[in-house]
Amino acid sequence: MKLRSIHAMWGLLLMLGFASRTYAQSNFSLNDVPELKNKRAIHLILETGEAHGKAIPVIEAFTKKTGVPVQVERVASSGVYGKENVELMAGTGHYDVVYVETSWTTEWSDYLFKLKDLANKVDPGKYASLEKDMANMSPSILATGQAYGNQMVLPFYTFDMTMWVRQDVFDDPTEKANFKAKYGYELAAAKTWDQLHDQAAFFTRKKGEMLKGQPLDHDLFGLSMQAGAYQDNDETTARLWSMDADWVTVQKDSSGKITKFVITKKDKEALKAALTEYKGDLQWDSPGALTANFDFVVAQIGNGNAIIAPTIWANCTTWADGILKEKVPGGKIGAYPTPGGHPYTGAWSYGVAKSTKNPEAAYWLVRYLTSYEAGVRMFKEAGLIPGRIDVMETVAKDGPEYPLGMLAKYHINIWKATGANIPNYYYYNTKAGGKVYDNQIYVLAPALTGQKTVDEVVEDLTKQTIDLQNKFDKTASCVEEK
Amino acid sequence: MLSNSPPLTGPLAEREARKPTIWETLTSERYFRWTLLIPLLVLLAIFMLYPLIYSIYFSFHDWGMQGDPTFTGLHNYRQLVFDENFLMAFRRTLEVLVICIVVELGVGLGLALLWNRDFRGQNVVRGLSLLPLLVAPLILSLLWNFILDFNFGALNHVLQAIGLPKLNLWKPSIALFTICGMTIWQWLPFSTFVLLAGLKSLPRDVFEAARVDGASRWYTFRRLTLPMLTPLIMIIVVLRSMWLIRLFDPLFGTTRGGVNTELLDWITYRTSFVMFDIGYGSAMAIVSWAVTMALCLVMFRQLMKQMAPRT
Amino acid sequence: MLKKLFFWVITVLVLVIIVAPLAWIYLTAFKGQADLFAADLRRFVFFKPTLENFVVLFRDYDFWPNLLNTLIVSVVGTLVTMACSLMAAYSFARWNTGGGDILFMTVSTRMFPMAVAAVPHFVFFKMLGLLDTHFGLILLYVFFNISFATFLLYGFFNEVPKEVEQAAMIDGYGRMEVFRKIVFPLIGPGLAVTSVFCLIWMWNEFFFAFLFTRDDARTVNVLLSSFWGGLQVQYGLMTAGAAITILPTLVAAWFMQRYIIRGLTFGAVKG
Repeated sequence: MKLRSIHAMWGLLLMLGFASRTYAQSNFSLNDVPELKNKRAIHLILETGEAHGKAIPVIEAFTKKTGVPVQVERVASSGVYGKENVELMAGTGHYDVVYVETSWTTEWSDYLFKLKDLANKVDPGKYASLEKDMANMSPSILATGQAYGNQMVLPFYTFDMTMWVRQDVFDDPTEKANFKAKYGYELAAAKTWDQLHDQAAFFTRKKGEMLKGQPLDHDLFGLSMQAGAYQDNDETTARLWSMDADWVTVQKDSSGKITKFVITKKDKEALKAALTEYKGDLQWDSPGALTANFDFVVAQIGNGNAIIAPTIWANCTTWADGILKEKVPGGKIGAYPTPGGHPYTGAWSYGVAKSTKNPEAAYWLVRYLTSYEAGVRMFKEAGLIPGRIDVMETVAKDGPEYPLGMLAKYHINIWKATGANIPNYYYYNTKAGGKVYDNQIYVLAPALTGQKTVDEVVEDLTKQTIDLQNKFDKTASCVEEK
Repeated sequence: MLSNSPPLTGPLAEREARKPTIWETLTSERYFRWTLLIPLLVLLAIFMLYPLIYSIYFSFHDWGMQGDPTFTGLHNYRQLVFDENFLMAFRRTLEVLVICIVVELGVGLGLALLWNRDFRGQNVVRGLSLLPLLVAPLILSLLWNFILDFNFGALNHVLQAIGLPKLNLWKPSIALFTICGMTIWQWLPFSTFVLLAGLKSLPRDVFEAARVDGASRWYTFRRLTLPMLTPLIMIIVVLRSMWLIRLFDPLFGTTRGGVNTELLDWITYRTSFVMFDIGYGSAMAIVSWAVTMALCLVMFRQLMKQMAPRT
Repeated sequence: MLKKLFFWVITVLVLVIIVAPLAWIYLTAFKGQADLFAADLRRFVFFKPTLENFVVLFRDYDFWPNLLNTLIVSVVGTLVTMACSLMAAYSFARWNTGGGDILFMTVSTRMFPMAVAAVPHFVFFKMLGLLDTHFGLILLYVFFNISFATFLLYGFFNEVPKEVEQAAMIDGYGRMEVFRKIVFPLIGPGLAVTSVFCLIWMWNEFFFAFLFTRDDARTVNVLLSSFWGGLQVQYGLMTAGAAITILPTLVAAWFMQRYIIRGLTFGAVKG
């Protein structure tokens, strides 16, 4: 009896312990930034667009507090890699704070400070203080910003993928009834690609047919995808990862060191299946999808021309919702994991260049831009989703429920669900990340437009990936499993 | 003869007697022509030689801008010969070249003939038709992307309003023609104006004589107008060919090389500047430069033959 | 009568095709956010005009400083280019210096793919500290245009008969004076044409301006292209900026329009 009650007591304590573990809000704020003696101006890149403009007051607040002027250069996201790469490689030392898309982290790791080292150098609280703040960031997102186990960058905003469904349509009793009658199961956000096909076919309708009991005054498409030469590789990644495969399998030894890069038979088969599936999905999408970037998908969903966007960026949600509110009375978006549950992930992050002449100011600016304070602001004002669990929890709790609260909950869940796989994905382990990524965009496109067969494209991609990987990353060799 | 002329005196004599100064050498009859070329040659040496040598050097290496380059000999070139993407891009570029030049010359000549008269509002018409040349090609490509968009573009709005079906101009089978259309739209004024100017300076008397002799319009055109315009036509062809082989801007804001529109300069840009595969990209650059040189050299020599007799 | 109808139908059609996209730029510049993606035609043309785009453009972005940079770089660049190519073209036309080969080399400078030339130029400029400076960009632009300008001017010089110069020289004028007083005025139209084309090219250049400038020497085209942004394409701001940026070139071209027609003969066809 006594033993049992002791066990029960321990059990109770343990449960209480778990229940009370909310993420202790990081209390890092501008006031924690120490006096900076070096007032030399620092330079960084901020993406273009209205949403990112909301970061300017954040940066101005930093300058006001520290007295260090910050020169902000607005560059479109497609131009960032070229611009920064040239400056970094030529050693100009112009950018003190470097804007990094996480798949470039390993590639640029030689040019950035290991944040641990930098913290120990300039932070009075040393690495421990940085670590405390990082405990509130998403572990999976942080993992994307590491190179060989070292944290190189901190997330500014994430670009997790999500699936949008027109929640109002999915909740509509008429549609629900019709769907169940036709397919035999309840209409709900698709968890598998097959379910997605059913829903896509179901919702592709011509002008004049009914939706939610009303006749349509335009053609309706079941899906909207970014199948143009911009993001076609990311949409494929979501499919690939959901099949438990990758572009290249990274083999590591027991100490975690990379031993080999292998394109396994499973990887190739999965890629073929993914591309075939992707191509098949296009039949339920507008012809414009083949040259589409995310703005097209946003417009399609926002204008009520499509019902489901299976692989779209979560931080476009507030933008799409804005259009939807105006164009489609009663329209609502629901955010769910992409079919298969492994959406493409990563974050636009900030790191500090080794060649900077003002490392202290750079470090503290990075800390502030990625802090709780700034994160809440960017999320609420701009709809840009920071990589911080504490921000998500605050918004999930305080609202507004739609769409921000919904997005917050989505991210908390998806980070938990997918965190474990991240450190093993190819993108985050290779120095040829940027090059392979960009090459994929062009090699995959002909498969979608039908100019080449899926098999041909997979062969091309395999050959070129091996070529690029071996050319630009001498850590380990890359081969194809025969 | 010299012994008969009076001895030189004064400043002229002094000048002849001592060694010429630098300025005098430079402006002397023999060297003046070269002096005039100095700024040009300096610029050429710095800005053309350096990238050329740089690219040739790296075309024999593998280099991603990080670390040291590895020597690979002719590997890049060999790869290029079998590179399907490169060859396709090359073929497409030639297609674009032929289509655009034919259309620009044909329509340009037609318009020039049409407007080769005094009509009311001619200044306005001519002024307005210069407009396409004035807008930055890059901005134009971003804007055309929007105008030609399937769902939200102005073009399809207009078509729908007059009851015609919507056009998808970015289908892989016709996207290349759309790109041609974009550049033709911008450069048509160029050929039109050059030909118009040419027509305006044709000697009246020859045409008068032909008319008096009862020559038909077609005959006049074929035997008189066209041959006299040939040098101008050649100039248009040379200049436009050079620019068309390097066509890049229309792609930047629209297809970005997707849907079967990747051109030579795009794949070179992508390789060198997006993937930073400097070695391979340099090899591509050298090859496309060599081909362009060869093509233009032929046309250029022809043109020079037509124009040289002037001096 | 039929001929006149035919003439005007074609002319108007051509003008519509030419002007329509540009009209679209000006229309869009005055549209509010909601009207940009309007799905029907009526809303397309009849909308409530707003100055919102211009206000935001001037207030939140360095529009005027960037436009000034463009002005400086284009005007100075054109002047320098004209000076260099004038001399070179005269040399080629008068004496056929280098037997046509140097001329060809000059023309061939534009045959090298720009993207690949960018990297060595970047490294070179970095060494000389010319990045993000007006001087550096001007230098680059002069190089890019010298081929075109020299080639065009070469044609114009060919138009001036040698006899005129020789006559002047027999009368006792020195080379420089002949050049200044006789040849120069005769190629006036040609000079105007070439300068305008150079100016326009430099005014509208994007790729190298993007790469080689950051904040100090940033030109207006780089700013406009940056509205093609990450999460949203700001067509309103872009067209508003384009609407203003086109104006100076429009003015320049309008003035030169008379000369352009007269001057584009290249001397290939004798009057």
